Amino acid sequence: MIKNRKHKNVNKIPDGKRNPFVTPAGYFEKLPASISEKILKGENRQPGKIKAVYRIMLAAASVAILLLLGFLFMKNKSIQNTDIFAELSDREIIAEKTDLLSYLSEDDLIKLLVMKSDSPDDLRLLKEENYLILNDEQITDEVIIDYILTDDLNQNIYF
Amino acid sequence: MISPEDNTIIELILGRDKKQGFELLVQKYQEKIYWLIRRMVMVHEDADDLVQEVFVKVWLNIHRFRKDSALFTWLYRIATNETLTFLKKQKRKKFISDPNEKLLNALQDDNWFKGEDIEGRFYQALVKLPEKQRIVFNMKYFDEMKYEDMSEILSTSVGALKASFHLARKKIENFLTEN
Repeated sequence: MIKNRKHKNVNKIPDGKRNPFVTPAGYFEKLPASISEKILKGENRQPGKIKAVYRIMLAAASVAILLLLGFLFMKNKSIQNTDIFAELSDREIIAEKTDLLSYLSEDDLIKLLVMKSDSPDDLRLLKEENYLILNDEQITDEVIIDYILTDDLNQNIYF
Repeated sequence: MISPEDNTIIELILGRDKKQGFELLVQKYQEKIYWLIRRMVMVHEDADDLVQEVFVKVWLNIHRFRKDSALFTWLYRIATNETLTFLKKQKRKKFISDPNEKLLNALQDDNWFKGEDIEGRFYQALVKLPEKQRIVFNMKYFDEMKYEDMSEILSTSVGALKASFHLARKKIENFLTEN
């Protein structure tokens, strides 16, 4: 073998196709047995049992994820509601509340107004405007809602 | 087409005696498959793992073999796919350092590589080729396979394989000239 000689053409490499790699002694005699052993190991594994364990783990993980997502969703929702109310003006909050008030009877609404308007000024104003007359048939839902939505009063009404 | 000897092996595997047929198949092809893999991965331990993996896959999937292609092209296809997948994984693992470092080190291990200097440089040039180009070169140069068979194994056109082999040869020649 000529060493350190440059060869431009691969076909001219001396013994270019000679195999310079080495395997452990008797490797190819033992290889079929190693392959059979590997196949046997694979066949002896209990795929059913492994699959059952995986299925239980998967179910447990799914439940845990769902619970976590539910918790995060609820937490986020309550934070969002607080944030929304913080950003709303009194008028907007009252406007929303009036939807609820529409379910109340006329008498109950007037009672509620009197109970909530604890400022003497408000009471005076209510009297002056003749709104604080219980059982007055002229006081309709519409009139009461208009009254609730009046800016001046809104400041003192707390629901 | 399938040779009479391979036909007997397949008939044994699929019919009368799967175990005996498979033993014949392993004995006939183990060395060819091993050397195809070893020239790609260079390291004996890796080649040993891969060749066993290939034959396990053959055992599990032999019923899918269609006799319209030769048995050796089917086996080579499994072996090349396994080897290329292995090399890809190696590359991903060694993304910081040179992915070919392990292969080049194997060429300097006197226990596993008994080549002369020129042979060492020749295999160094081979390691530097892209994997697919290397496998084309190995099949043509060492195994002296027909382009038609290679085309079936690698699912690549004959023209592309010829171009690939030509490029690989040029790169090796240039490497040997420079080193």
